[in-house]
Order: sequence, then structure tokens, then C-alpha cells
Amino acid sequence: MKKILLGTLAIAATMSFAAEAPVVTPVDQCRLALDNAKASLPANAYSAKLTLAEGYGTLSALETIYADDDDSKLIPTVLENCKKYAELAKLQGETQALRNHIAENWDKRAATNRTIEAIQEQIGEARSGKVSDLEAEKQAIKAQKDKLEASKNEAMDKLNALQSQMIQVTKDARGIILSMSDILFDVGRATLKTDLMTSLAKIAGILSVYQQFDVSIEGNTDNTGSEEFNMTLSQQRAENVMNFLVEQGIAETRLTAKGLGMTMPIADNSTKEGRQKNRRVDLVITDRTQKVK
Amino acid sequence: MKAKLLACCSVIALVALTGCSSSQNAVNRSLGQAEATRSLVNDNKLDASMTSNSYSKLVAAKALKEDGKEEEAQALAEQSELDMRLAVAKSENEMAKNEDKKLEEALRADEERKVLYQSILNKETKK
Repeated sequence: MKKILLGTLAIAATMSFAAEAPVVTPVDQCRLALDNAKASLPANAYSAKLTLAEGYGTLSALETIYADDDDSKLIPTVLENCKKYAELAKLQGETQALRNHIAENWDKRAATNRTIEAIQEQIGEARSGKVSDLEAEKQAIKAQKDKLEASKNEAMDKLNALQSQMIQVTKDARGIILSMSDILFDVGRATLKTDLMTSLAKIAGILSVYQQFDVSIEGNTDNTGSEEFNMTLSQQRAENVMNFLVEQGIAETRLTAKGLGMTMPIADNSTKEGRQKNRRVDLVITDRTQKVK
Repeated sequence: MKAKLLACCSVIALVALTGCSSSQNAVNRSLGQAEATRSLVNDNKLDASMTSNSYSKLVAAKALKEDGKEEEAQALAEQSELDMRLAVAKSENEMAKNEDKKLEEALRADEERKVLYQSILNKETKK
């Protein structure tokens, strides 16, 4: 019973508090709406501030109307107008905030584009520096190439000077070819004759100056005699030439010797002149620098 | 005494007439302003529901004025104008939002370009 009594008293107390809660008048509602809008305005939202001033004017009118007659039919419309002023000011404030942000972003874009231009200039400078480096490198390569070419021509001139009845100097895709007639050898033997040694000594002198040249020594015969004999003879002649050049100070690594027998004729073996031409030792002089390329 | 009464009545009538005239001026001014706002800023891009609402209120305000309810007519005319101004403000807000968005994208693209050029420069100067 006590509990019921206490409960009833509590409900009565709550109802009494509810009844005493402060009444929010239309004037309060208007002021609250305007003050809220005012709080959110950016400093430069001038249109919004003018709108807000109009709103506060409406608030004054509402205060007068409410003071005269708190039941006036005008109050709802004027209160709505007040709220619309607040809404309008808030919207104008938001728009101004957006415009401020837009202006900031334009500034940022301008700064970013200035940075990009500066970077582009730096790229241009870096590239032009590289171009001059590249150009210098190209010039150096060209100079080196020209030097080698001049050296080769010089060597060629000197080798050409060896041209005689016994030594033919020609040039083909492999390089410079010195063809030495077999009259420089004893018949059927591989021993070098004095004339041949003299010519080979001159060739060794040229090769020692022009270190870019390697020499492939190829012994050749005509088709008379057995194939085996010719192969052996050509091999021995080629090796003897090579050994002589080594004796003259040419590095063995620059030289190779091989006997080709009757396999590489350069003339008709059916004639005496042709066979004479086929009996030979060829010195194929190649440019190592060009082989590398 | 009669003269005093007459004078008194005349003053009251003058005050009433002046008050009436001032109230009429105010409502006319509000109606004119609402009408002018409507015709000046009428645009297809504005919120149609708000502009039609504004027009209805303007018509209603004119009717109230005809009924002699000047104060109510004036308040409603003001509201009609406010609706138009709100429609304009919303439209401007939308435009600003769009511009802001586009600019944000452009700025992002600029930043990406900057990073790209910076990486090119780093490569060029690395050697």
C-alpha cells in the first residue's frame, strides 16, 4: 500500500515538473534559428549577414506582435519568415564557404603548376646536359674510328708497297690478302727462300706497328700430286711462314696457319698459268677492331 | 464642447487614415517586391516546387490584401519573396558545389602530374 502511494506521488511530481518546463515562444524559436545560422557563417559571407540582418528585423516585428497579442494570426507566418531568413543566411554562408574553398584551390593549382614548370625546366636542363655528354662521346668514338681507319689505310699503303711479281696484294670482305707465289718456296718443299724471308720480314715490321691486325696464313696447292701430299705440303708451308713471323717478334696469338691443299683454287688448274696461280700461300690480314664490332 | 468633440474626432480619423495608408503602402511594397523578384529571377534551373510555392503565396497575399487583411498579406508576400530567394540560393549553392568538385579533381590531376614529372626528373638526374 505504501509502495502504491509512493508511486502515485512520484508520477504527480513528474507531471508537475513537466507542467513547469519553460515554454519556447515563437520569439525564442525565431531568435534560436537566427543565432544558429549566425554561428556558422564565414567571416566574408556578406550576403548572408545582410539576410541575417533582415531576419533580426523580422524578430523585432515578431516580438512586437507577440507582446501585443500572443494569439495573433500573424505569428505563424512571421515565425516562418524568420526561419526562412535563417535558412537562407545559412545557405548563403555555405555557398560562401564553398567559394572560399574554390579560391584556395585555385591558389593551390597555380602553385602546383609553377612547381611543375620548374621541374620541367630542370628536366630540360638535365637532358641538354646529357645530350652534350652524348655528343662528346660520339665525337670521341668518331675520332677513334677515324684514327683506326687512317692507321688501316697507312698499313694498306705500306702493304701495297710490297706488291711485286711474287706478291699480289688484294682486298676482299675478309681483309687484305697477300698472295705469295710458290716460286718463293723450293719445289715440292716447305722451306722458305731468301726472297720470301725478306718480304715476310717487311710484313712483320708492318704488323708490329699496326697491332690491330691478325694474320691467317693459308697454304694452297694445284691439283697435281696426291691430295694428301698437297695437304701436308700446304700445311707445312703455312706453318713455316707463321714460325718465321713469330721469330720476327709477332705474337703467336695474332697468327693462325692452315693447309688447304687443292681445295681453294683461284684459277683454272687445267692450264699452266692457272696451276701457277693456285700454288701459293695467302696471308689474310684482318682488322681485329672491326671483327669485335 | 461640440467644437472640441469635432476636433477630437477629426484627429482620430486622421490618425486612422494615416495608419491605414501606411499599412497599405507597406503591403503594396511587399507585394511589388515579391512580384519583381519572381519575374526577375524566374529561371528553369530553379527548384520548381519552391517557385510554384512562391507563386501560390503571392496569389494568396493579393487575395488577403483584397480582403483588407494588409498585415497578413504583407507577411505572406514577404514569404513568397523569401521562397524565391531560397530557390536562388539553393541553385547558387549547387553551382558552387559542382565547381568545387571539378576544381578538386583538376587539382588532384595537377598533383599527379607533379609527381610524374618529379619521377622523370629523378630518373634523369640519377645517372
